[in-house]
Amino acid sequence: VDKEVADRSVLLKNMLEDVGESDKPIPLPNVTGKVLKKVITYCEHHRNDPLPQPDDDLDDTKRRSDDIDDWDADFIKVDNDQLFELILAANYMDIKPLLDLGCKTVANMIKGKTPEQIREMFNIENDFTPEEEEQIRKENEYVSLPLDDSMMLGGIACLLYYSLCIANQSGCQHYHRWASES
Amino acid sequence: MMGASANGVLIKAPNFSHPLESNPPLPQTAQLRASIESDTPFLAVPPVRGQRQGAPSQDQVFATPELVENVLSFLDERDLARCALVGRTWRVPATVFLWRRWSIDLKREDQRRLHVFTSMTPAIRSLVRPLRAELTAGNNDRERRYFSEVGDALRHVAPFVRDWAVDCLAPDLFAVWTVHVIPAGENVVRLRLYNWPPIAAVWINPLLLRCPNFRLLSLSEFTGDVNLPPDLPYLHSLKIAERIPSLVEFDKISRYGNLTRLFVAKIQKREELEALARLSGLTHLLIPYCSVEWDEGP
Repeated sequence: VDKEVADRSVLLKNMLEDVGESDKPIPLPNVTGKVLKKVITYCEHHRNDPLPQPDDDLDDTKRRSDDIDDWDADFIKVDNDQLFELILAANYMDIKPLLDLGCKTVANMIKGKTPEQIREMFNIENDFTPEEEEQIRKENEYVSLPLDDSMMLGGIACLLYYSLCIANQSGCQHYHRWASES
Repeated sequence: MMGASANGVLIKAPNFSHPLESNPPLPQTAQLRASIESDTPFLAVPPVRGQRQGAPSQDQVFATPELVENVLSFLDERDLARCALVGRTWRVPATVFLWRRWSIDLKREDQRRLHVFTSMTPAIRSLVRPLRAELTAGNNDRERRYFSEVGDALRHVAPFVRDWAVDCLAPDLFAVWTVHVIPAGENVVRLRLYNWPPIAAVWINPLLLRCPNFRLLSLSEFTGDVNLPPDLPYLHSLKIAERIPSLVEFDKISRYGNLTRLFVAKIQKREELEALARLSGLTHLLIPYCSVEWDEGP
């Protein structure tokens, strides 16, 4: 593998700097061959990208998951098993953009799902007692309620508006009938 | 070589069994987990794997707190609230992210979020470590009823906040806010002050002096008794939307060497403008309502 490609991985970059120029193979005990191939494909495609800067921790409050480009989206279209193996490999080899791509993909799978659906999708056991669940629900109630309230108010306003229109319309009809009769 | 530190970069060993034993990404998260472990019995129990089990790689990802955190960092509040209910390993990071952005707006009728905070157990409260915070408060009787509750919340969150946006007309609450922010002033990198009470300069001046690390400072008001700090080495964006009455303040601004964005309203004198001309690194400059007479030159 070219040095430029290997440099995508902070782990490899540091190892190479320690070892110096040599043809000795570097052992990667925690990554299987199949996943490594996939990782190399990714690094080769992104070999000329700027290396990620350590980000300002303020900016992680506005991280978005809908900015995956076409090549990456296609690259990450793999089964769950492989997706999680890629995430582990990216984490181990310290390739931040690939790690983020994997995590974004998982985040997109989670979006809009209920807790039960998420558990089902990933085979996670619900290890809360009903009391704990109730407590967490209460804690986070404020997140979902205000929007529902305003939606209900909107609904009422719409109904009111429509009934006004109908009243108005029938009023007009009455007037027209009255006008034509006279 | 594995697990050792090469050139200061920590290599993560991917196979560990329990999330509480792992290397946390941030020291504060470690502290937070430790406090959870000791205070709430139900969270101290390690996640038990029952019959249901996914692929090993997947279980390993979800048992690694920093990876769960990375996934959750891409979600919005509603998804986070649902994620907190998935299982114990998800509950802590989901709650931390839910409270990353903290806002109290007393102008709103709905104060549920404030009440939720007030009634939290200490262990859960320790997960509230917001990086950004907004405080909006007027000074009428309905709003004043919440002031002690807000003061309590401010005391808890102020040490963590790096980005403040404050709109507060009540002098006593404004004073409480500054009292809690000043000890943690070095953490604050962004500050936006909108409305402030008439005598606020007595609190603003010491506050500005204790926040040497501002990157961004935005003041919607300004009065003759407000003193800008003599030196803000990291400041790159400054906005002052009200007339600055004293030329001394303009001189200070002209010495903020790292400024790239500057907004100063209502400049009236040539010397004020000339002081600003000493700033060489500006990329963005706006001087609205400037009433300096145009000099065509010779």
